[in-house]
Amino acid sequence: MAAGTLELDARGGPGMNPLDPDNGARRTLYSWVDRQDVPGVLRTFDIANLDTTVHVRSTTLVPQQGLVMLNSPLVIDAAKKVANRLSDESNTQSRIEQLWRIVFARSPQRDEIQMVQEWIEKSEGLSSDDFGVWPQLAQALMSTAEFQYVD
Amino acid sequence: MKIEIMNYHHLFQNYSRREVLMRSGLGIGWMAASTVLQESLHANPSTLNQHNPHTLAARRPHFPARAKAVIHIFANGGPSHIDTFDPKPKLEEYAGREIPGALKTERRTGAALPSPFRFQQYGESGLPVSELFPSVARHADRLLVVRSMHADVPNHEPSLLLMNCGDGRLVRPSAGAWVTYGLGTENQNLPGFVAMCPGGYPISGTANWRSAFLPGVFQGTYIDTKKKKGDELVEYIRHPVLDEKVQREQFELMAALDQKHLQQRKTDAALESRITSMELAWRMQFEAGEAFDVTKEPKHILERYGDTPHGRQLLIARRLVERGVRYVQVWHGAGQPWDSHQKIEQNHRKLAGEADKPIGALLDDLVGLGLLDSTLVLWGGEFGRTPTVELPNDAGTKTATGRDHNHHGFTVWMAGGGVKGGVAYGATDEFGFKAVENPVHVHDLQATMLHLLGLDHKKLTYRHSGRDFRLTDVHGRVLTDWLA
Repeated sequence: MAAGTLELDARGGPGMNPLDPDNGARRTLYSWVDRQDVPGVLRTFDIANLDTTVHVRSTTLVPQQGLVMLNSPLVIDAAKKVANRLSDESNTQSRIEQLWRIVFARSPQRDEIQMVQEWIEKSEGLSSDDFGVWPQLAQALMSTAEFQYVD
Repeated sequence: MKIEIMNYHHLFQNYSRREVLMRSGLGIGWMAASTVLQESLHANPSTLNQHNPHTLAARRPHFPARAKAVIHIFANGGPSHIDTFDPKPKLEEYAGREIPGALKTERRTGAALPSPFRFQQYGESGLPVSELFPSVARHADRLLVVRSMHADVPNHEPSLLLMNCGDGRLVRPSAGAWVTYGLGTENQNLPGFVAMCPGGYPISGTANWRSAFLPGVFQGTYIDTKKKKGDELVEYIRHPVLDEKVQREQFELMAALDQKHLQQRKTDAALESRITSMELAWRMQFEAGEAFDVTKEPKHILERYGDTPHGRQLLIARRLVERGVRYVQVWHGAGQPWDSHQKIEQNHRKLAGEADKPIGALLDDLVGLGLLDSTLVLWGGEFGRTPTVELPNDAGTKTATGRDHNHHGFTVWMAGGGVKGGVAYGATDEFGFKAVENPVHVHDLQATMLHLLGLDHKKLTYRHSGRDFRLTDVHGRVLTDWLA
């Protein structure tokens, strides 16, 4: 949702591969999945057992979920898309505020802005072109507990 | 009801989503939080059935265990017991002739086919092992060879599922899933259940290590050991772009934001455990990367296992068990390599040539490290093979040089983990067709394996679809004769 790519309006139609970055942005209800080979990402986040009816999913909390947030192409692609939503203006503070609103649906607090500004100064020299400061920041924010857990 | 937070952000800009939901009276967050709290409280195995722990935290077994970990070496395809661990000299007498009492087989089989391999006695026990497994044979006095195994049908898929999941057809959790559900794992920085197979999946694929209706955390983690580099072996173990230094900065920013979040909530056990889980993920990057990296071993150790997929994966198995992984399953290869319907001599010779040296090295290492007593090593396939030759088919594409599937009688062997050594348990008939003396069904093997791990197979249950399920379902006997 934060990447702005979730298509909620498209109903019906053929299923799609949920991990396809170009075409997979629909609810998993519309996923085409091989029961014998469930993608690791879906398994890691407790997708319901596809072989039977399930009235309630199990909930687990495991480090492999953290690994997905840190290193998976799915999350990295989403982070790039979030960063692309930021307007082109160069004012760092307003970009931070915009990012906070996209990811956390609130404004950043003063000390959060400061934390991030310091981080950006440190990181600017270290980053690669392929995954620059803003996508990295987006990924970091999406990995926080505040983003991942509604409670 | 959909809360369009983006559109109303000017009203809610000082509230987090949590506060919005709470104030809107939709306290769904609290339900999730209480589940996680329950998990951390109920690690006591005596309440296993009531409050099923959904974590991998190590928990005590039902009674004192002999084994703490399992290495299951799966010779998928069905290795011939007659050519490996169950010598049948009677077949020489009947060579080329029909044997009396031949049982129904899946394909047409014909006359007796004696083993082309020589057997020799080893160790003080004098256990006979064929020339295919000389490195394993050095450990004869440590082996419990069960010659009277039997399964239900002579087909791969149901037999694989029976051996791994306790049922040939229905969707049931695998043994590794049951074991990690019952015991958790000792090292929270590594997966608790690892399944390694070079070059792809075995037949029945991921069903062999599935968690089914058990929580997904107990599913086996598959590793393709044809790959050599550490960071290609475990999924998502490294950032594809950022190096460690840059990623550390990113991680520390995220961690600082999390800490701030935590401070604002005073005490929140659920939130703390989620933050901890993220920290574990960070550590797992390095620990898993290191555990799967065989180049960290001294060269002479690597040479003893051999720099092949089989050598590397058994060395990894040893490293994982050293680091507290609970259940490691190691397959011979994709598909069904041991399925020698044709050319049994060439094919079995080649396969054993790949497997024997690494298995011998593994046993040597476990002994040397003092780990064998607490590690149950199990070798076997989903069934055995027929003493009678598989006949050519009408298309003429087959020659009469191999053996068909045989579920009536086959061999598995075990070492360590509390089993007796230098013992042959049970027997097949004089031709090696059917288990006749002390027959052991796959469920009995599973019940006894759980027993060695300190688990009562009748008490390790999970409620699903209205009843309690267990690995052995309503079957299985613990074979105390196996215990040292």
